Amino acid sequence: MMSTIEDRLHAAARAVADTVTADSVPPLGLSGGPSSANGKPPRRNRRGFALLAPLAAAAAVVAVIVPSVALSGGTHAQGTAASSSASLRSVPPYYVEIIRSSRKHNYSYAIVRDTLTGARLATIRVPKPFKNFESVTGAAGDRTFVLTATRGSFPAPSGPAKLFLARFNASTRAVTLRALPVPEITKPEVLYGVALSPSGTELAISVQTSHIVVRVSVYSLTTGAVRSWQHTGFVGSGPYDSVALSWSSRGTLAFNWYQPFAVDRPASTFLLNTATAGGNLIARSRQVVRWANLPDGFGPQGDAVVTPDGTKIVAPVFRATGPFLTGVFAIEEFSAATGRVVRILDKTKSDWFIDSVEWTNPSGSVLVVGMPAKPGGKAVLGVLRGNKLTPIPVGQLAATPGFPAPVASFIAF
Amino acid sequence: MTTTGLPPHAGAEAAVTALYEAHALGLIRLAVVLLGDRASAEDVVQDAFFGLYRRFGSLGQPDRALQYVRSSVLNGCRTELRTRQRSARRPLLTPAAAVSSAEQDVLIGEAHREVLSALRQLPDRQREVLVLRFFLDLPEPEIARSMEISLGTVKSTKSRALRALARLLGDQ
Repeated sequence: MMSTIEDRLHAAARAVADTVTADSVPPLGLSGGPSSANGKPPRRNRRGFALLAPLAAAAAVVAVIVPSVALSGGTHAQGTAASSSASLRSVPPYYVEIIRSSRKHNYSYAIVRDTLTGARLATIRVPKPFKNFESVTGAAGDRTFVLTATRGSFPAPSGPAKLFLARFNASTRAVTLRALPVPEITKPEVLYGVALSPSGTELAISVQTSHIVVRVSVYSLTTGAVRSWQHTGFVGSGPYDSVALSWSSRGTLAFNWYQPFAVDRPASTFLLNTATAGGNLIARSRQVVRWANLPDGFGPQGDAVVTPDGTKIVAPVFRATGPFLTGVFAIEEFSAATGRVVRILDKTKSDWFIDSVEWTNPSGSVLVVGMPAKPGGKAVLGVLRGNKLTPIPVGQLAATPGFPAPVASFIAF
Repeated sequence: MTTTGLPPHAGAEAAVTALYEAHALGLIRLAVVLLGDRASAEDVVQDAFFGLYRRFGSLGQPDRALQYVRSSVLNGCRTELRTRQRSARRPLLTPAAAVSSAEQDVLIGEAHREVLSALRQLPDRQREVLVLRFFLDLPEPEIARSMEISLGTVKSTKSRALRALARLLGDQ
């Protein structure tokens, strides 16, 4: 007869087996090797570092830690399970998460998760000969996504890059993946932003054609027609920034524009009317929020996003209130018509803060937001509704130990 | 000397991939038990298969590839645990993976976590014998080959490990 201790070992073995299922085994990566990244975490893009440095300083000197946001299910829990569930049900039911080796290997894949439970519903393998998924972005149709695959080895964020359309079938849990009719982006060009229109018929991308020139292009996925707008500067806060561009259902495209050689904050948030003929990007766009003329220490901490109804711009913002970068972080909504602030959410002096808006409902009243991982911790993804943040179950967002995870590149709704 | 850049043995990729597809699941589970977090476990297993791929051409007995990779996983786990112990003495350098995955822990019930925690307190050899026996369901002769120790040592180690585990869990 088996002893009790052996029974317990067998039971523990079954419990572990339940957490490591066959469909969760990552593909084998033989292309790079154990020392290809020297065990170092992947670097954020250069602009990301530029932003992080002052933020780290700000975090260090903020004296009062008063999170004003109620974190459901956390230590500041105030919401009920029912209200948490309601929050999670108010955003798209599925999202795609890119999984990459935590430290060493050149492999990545993507999974479709159930927003409510975090359960893995499907796995998307990188199509050969590509090696990595670098970023993902979604469309309003909640089961259509665009994945950027690269031939370059992880963690170097380098091209060539190819875009693939992934469609998730919820009833069969199958994902179809097809290459989009957009030319592969090769050096010296670097892909920055990607956004699929709410109708799923147009794809906008921003590409740095050189160190000082950006091109925004809109491709018709039905006819293959393309229009392009170009200017000096940058659009997006670094390569493979999946929320650098956002669409409204009115056909306008929001983007943060950075002046050449200015990496600390964007000069302005613009709305491009994509119905116009191609040409000068700035001349064909309307400036909504002008960040450059605001006092030092004030600026967006991430990309500004237009709400699908086209009425508001939403951005994570830091406002300095004193010397040494003391201040408050908040999600601010601006009128797309006037550029004035119409609402402030999640105002906090806490040492960790929301730094990205991943998705908004049509009016901007419900947001999916990201908080980067604390060093050694996990990134947080949550639904912000009113002033209440409900965490969304996520998988391996802490894939870069010691570095804040660039949430926006790895998650899409 | 480095092996970087040497062409791998013809057919190695297909053979290693097939082996991976057949055995990665069990090996990742094994590594999760030994290390307590999924990301490190996947890395150790990937390391082991990559090592096999690199050395495939020089394997004296290719039919023992599974045994080789199993030994590599055990070695990789030992190395990882030692790295963590060293890092724990230098907190600023502690890798995130040194902390057991909260997600993993949440998914495993309290009673099982207690068993796993006690298991991780055992000496290397005792822990590995129990894991190979109870988590991979390997027969004792196979454990002996994987750990490169005698069958008698496997039996005595298992016996001592079970007693030690029972003590840690308060069953004795």
